Amino acid sequence: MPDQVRGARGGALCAGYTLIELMIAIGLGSAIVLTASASMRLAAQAVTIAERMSRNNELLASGISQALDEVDYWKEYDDPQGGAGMQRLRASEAPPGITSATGHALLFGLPFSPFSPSAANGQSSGSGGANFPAVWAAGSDQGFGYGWQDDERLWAISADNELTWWTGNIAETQESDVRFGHYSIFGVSRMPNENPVLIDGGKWGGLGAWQPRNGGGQYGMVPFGAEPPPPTATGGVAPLQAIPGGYRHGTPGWLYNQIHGLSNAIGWYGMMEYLPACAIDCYATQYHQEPGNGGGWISSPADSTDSAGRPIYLIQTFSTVSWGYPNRPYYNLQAFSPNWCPHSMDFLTSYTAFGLLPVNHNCYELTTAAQSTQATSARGIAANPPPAGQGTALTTDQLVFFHRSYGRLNCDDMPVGAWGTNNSASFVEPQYTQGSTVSPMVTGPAEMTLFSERTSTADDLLPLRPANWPDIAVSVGRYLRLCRFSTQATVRFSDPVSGEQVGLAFTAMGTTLRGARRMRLLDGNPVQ
Amino acid sequence: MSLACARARRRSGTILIIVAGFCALLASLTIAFMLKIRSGADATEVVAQQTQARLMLHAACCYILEAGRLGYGPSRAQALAPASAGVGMTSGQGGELQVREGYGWIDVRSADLTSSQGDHGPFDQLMNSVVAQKGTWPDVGGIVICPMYRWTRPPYAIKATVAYNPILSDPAQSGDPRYGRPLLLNPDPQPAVANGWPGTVSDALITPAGLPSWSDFVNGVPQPVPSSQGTAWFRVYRKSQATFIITCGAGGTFGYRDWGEVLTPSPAITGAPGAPNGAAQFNNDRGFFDALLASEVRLWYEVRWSGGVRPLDFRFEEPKWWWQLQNGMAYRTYPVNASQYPGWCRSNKFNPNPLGTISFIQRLDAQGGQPVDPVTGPMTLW
Repeated sequence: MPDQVRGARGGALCAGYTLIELMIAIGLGSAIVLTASASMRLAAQAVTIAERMSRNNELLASGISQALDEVDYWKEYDDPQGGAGMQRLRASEAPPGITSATGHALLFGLPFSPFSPSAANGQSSGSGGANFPAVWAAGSDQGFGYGWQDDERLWAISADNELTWWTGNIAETQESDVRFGHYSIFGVSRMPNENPVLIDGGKWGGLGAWQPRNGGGQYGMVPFGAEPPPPTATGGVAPLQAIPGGYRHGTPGWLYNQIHGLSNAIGWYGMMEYLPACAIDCYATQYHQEPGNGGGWISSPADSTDSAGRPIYLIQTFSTVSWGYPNRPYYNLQAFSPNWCPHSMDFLTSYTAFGLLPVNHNCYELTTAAQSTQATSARGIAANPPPAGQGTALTTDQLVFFHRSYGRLNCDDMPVGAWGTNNSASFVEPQYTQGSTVSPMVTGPAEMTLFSERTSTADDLLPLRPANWPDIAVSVGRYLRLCRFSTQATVRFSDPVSGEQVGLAFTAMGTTLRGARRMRLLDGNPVQ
Repeated sequence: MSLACARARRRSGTILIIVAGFCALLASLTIAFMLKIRSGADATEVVAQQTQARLMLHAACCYILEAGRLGYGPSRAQALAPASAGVGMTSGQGGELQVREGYGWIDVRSADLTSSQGDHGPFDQLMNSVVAQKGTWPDVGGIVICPMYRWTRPPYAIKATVAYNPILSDPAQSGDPRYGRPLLLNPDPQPAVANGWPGTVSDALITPAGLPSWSDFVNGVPQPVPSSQGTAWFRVYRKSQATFIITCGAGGTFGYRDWGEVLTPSPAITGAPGAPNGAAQFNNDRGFFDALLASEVRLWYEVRWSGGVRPLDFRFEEPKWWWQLQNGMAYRTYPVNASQYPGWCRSNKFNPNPLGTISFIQRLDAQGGQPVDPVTGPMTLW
């Protein structure tokens, strides 16, 4: 052994550890290692938690971004690249079993139905859309006023432009004998070949036709001549050019045709969005007796009236079951024109809500377990199981119905049953029922839940995630309520490991329905 | 060296290595943690910017609604002098002075443009256009840039005091002659700047800012609140009479579209910060501007104004009640602010859109930093 490793007593230096020294050294070393490893473990856990929290936050951020994208692009309602299966709200239908009293084929559209053939064709070739028939084409049986007039000068004003004047006596339109004049004659909505037009003709006061009370009867046949040309044809109006006088004075009935055409073409929510703010949602047509009393539909269910010639309450909420047509009670829509005065959104939305159905993913059209899971995730509550026979994808028939219906919200502001001779027990309202039957009616909170589910998207952003991964789901609902178009977004997050659940609910301002249609070129070429 | 000695040394080194390794791992974890937090903050920042940009959409729509009517009265400089016709004021039919205001983007008096010689307006009470220079905002083709930082104190600011004249309601004060009585003892509201009240009110009183009180009140304090600067802006281009392209921004470029516009803003632009050369706003540093531009969120929308407003008596079921009360003999629409039927009267709170309405909003896709029209493609004017 070399000298340099020997101790003073001649023994080896490395043999100098005592047991105590060894125990202390081992103890201290172990403590250091344990402390370090514990710190390491804690740090690793902290990082793991931070990673998870960060991922959660990123998921929430993704959910918010997804919700805002949906607010602007409406893909859950109509996916421009999705083909026909994802564009069901462009469909339309001729109501089965219904014929117009004047021989016109009826056609009810949905919120994304193209107005004109050029719009429909443009979609098929330009944006990957499928072909859908135009619902408001000039020269067609649905050609009220030659289609939608997208001109900012026509609609931006109401006082100066006679085209936008609503002809009628507002104060007199309820249970009136029209003693101050039959002003609505100046604005009758009609088809090109509907001439002359039969005005008034009330036979029964109970339907609001009070002419007989004063010895009246049919007002008579009024010749209007050929349908006037649309405003844009008279002056060749180009953007930023002066509008000729004929633009304002030459097309009586233009406004009523626009309302009539919008209602038929895209339903009530769309109609109310296209019309100017605070527009009166009424129009007048020729007289025809209501279905069930020997009459029939004219050009939409709204034309069923016993006293045409006076403005029709477009969103009539009460009509007897007998007025419906077989097996389709949900088409019991309107009548009672003078009995219920014309209304604006002020009244209509004071106790009702008009919604849009996101057909691509919503919380009610649950056909698979995966969709049910999505709905559950999106709403943060257990999905409301649809009743037996319900809950499958809505047919075009049902979509047409629901886009001409509303959610009735119980409140004290509108005691409908006590008004006049109307007894709410005798009438069926076109509200959000189960979709195929009238009875039993869904009322109160159940109806509100149904309305909410039908009008809310359900989009799970991670449908194929591992079981222990957090989930993020987005829901966007659009409805019209209390004079306001609302877009309600909800982002829901759930973590199966921690049990944490987070819900963010917010409203957002973005693309409107009309803007979404313009994105998809569904309105044809606009004039500005 | 003996084997035992070598083992002891290795053992000592092992602990050191283990501890050092743990420390290194701890350090790396810490760095990873910090990076993750940083990336999480970045992800959240995008959400905050999206939110800011959407708030700008709301602000821009409100601006469009108001700019069709308001904002054409005396400037702040003009407001310091006595009111006179021609400086934000017009003469009424009786010769009285009226604050100048517009009558909407499409004037109901001249929708066919025949009485305005093809001009687009807005027009004031006398059918004179409020447009100071053709092609500039608010004319068709004009652009306005609105950085949305918060002023230290806005013009004409009033105090946030809720009740200047609270009614005495404490029973212990019942002996006070003011007890239970709504007395107007103090003006309500009151300006945010000192004006001498409750002593002698004076326009010329020198405020702590060293300015006459009226001048200080009118001009406010325009310096931005630092935390609000560089966060959001909007920009509006008047595409046609009632259709506008809105650019919503969340970032620090103040709404300039590019560096070239910073150096030479288009004559059509109003409100460009630092014009005629805004480079100083960015430290005369193009790289700085480009960095701000790269980190900014911009959203484009096309919107349309409608003159549709809601009158205060717009509730048609009310005549029905009156008709029933009168045994079917009369109809009546309640006057504004009528009080004979509690709960049914109409007041200004029922008029949510006195300046018109936005009839549609359409998000525009973006391509190469420009909005894209679905029909015509990329838009050069915005």
